[in-house]
Amino acid sequence: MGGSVLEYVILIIYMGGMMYIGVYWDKKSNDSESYLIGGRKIGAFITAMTLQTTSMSGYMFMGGPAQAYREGYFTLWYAVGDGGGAIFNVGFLGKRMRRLSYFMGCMSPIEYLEKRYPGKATRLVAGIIAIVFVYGYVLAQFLSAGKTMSQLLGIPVPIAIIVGAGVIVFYVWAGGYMAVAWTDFIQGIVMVVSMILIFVMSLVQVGGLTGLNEGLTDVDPTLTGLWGKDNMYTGQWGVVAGAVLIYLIGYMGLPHVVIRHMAMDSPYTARRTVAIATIWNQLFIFIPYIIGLMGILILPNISDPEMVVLTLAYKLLPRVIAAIVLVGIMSAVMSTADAQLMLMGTMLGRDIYQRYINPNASDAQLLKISRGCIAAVGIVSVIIALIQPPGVFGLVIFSFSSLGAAFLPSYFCAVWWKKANTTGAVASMIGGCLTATCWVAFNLQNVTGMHQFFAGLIVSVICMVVGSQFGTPVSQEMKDLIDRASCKLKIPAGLASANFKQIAPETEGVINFLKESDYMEQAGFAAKTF
Amino acid sequence: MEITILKHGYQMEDAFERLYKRSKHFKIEQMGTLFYPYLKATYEVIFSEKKLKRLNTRVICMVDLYTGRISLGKTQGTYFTQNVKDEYIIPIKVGREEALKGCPIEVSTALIQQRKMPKVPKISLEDDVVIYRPFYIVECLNEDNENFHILFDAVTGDFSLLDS
Repeated sequence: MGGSVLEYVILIIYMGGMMYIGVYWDKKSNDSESYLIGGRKIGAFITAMTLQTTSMSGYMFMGGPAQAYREGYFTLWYAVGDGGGAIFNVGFLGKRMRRLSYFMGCMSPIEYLEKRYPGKATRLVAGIIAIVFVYGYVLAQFLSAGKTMSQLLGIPVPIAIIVGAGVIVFYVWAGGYMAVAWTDFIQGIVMVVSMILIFVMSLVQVGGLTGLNEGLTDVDPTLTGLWGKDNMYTGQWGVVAGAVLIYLIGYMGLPHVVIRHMAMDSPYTARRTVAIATIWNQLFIFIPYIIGLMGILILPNISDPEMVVLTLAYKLLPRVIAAIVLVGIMSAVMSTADAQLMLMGTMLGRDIYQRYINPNASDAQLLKISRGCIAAVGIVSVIIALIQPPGVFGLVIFSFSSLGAAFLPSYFCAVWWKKANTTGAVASMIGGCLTATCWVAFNLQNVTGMHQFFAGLIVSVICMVVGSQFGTPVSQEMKDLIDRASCKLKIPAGLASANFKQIAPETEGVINFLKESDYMEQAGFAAKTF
Repeated sequence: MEITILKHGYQMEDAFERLYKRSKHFKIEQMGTLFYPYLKATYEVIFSEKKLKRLNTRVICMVDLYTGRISLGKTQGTYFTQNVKDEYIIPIKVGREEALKGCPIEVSTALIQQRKMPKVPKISLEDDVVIYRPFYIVECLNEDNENFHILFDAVTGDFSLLDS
């Protein structure tokens, strides 16, 4: 276990290295004519990599393995869904959403919903749901950071959570020079390499996958069954469907994930992203769960299953490597947490306070509100973590289910169903979110045998279909945009893949100008009108 | 009308070359120039007079005077003036006051987020001027002889499809 000078030295060196990389890339970007916001060109590789790592860091090494440790092979249903998640997410939404958001000139996933489903209620409902449940992710990151720090520095978990949260605040402040995308990317790589290292060492220890199966059967044959430990989910296909679907299609409902589609440099990037993300998922998604299963054999008496990966690191790897692995994991978690905190602060300040409470707020007021919210989120998280810390797995699944059930039909129908209107979208968001939340609050999964995500999704879809029969129909202008987003015109791939996002707003402006003016005729084009 | 134009990085023949480098499976039929209006506002951003002086900076706020959208940059650019036919100029739809209204909050939010600096900077407008950015509208034919159009940024060489 940690706690010696070695761990402290490695922690300082690693953090210093990250700061250096941040400063280096930040200076590089200042030399170019790059914009401070918007217009980022994100290619297929980075899109595919960040799609998973930025939102899942705490879950990957803590929540997933812990659940596998508790429930055995049943947990792999989640991984099966996740393995195909990229195909569904990028394949169904990627290209069309990239195009539609480009045509509408949107910069954020909430703004996208508001423009596709015009109305104050859309932003209010979507903003509140996103803030509340993204908070679940933030809390999960705090818990993960605290537990990792406890293992690394050998201090009690409650103190580690306070220190971890403090470090995150410091990181947010001192990390001002960092080019966040690059450090996140590098930390993501460190996290993945670390997991693979632990996976290989554990596999050697248990005698390969055959040894793992035999060992688990000896411990408890139901651990290798498809219905969970002690066959607790026997015949509950609603639970299985939910476990598979949550990651198979649930990503399509996560605002902080679908924003990746909007950031792609071209709609055609989606194809390459699907391929890369799918290969990546097959290689990596199963690993944390299998490590959890191997933990049953290597660490049969561990008191907190969420510590299984961290404990295995110290048990199986040389101490220096184990410390590096833990520091890498912790910093990846922290960078995810600070990005999510920033996102929440911005949403609270701009989408809620400025929009509904004080439209004439000065920039100073807005920033005070945002910073106050971030501080409050930090303090409340620490209090919750200290008084009654929820499990990382449960927290992530709960947040994921509620966000997915709330937003999936709205994002999906935005590009696939022209009749989907504001009434349907708002009803769907409220219905889906409430159902998934109540399912957890009243423990309805045990009563009905149906997973919270599956139940929330069904209600959300019904609300969307029924709600869209009422209220203001979708405008012809929006229908035209949706048609354009599904354009079948044969464009040479070389041109289509270089569709630069930097000039997206101008493109929309020019399209409108060409429609309104007689420029085409004046300039002698074959197409006299646009 | 005499306007101030951001200097071209790409003449029409350069644009031809750049597009054909990307693909040979289409034909350029026609090309025309269009001038897009912006308000270029320069802001001085002061985070601190003392310790954190190095964080102080100068930011260029470019407001799209057709749609009102704001983007931020750091370089001033090179300009020249020229007489251009009115029909080749996109008309200004956003007034100066309206255009400048949203700039300070965009500048401060972007800098706070980028630098993660928990301090409200002082932002003051140094100057503002209306400038035009040259674009080319390129009419092309695909292999099925269908018409499609490209918007080509004559300054940066970026381009975007207008029909899809």
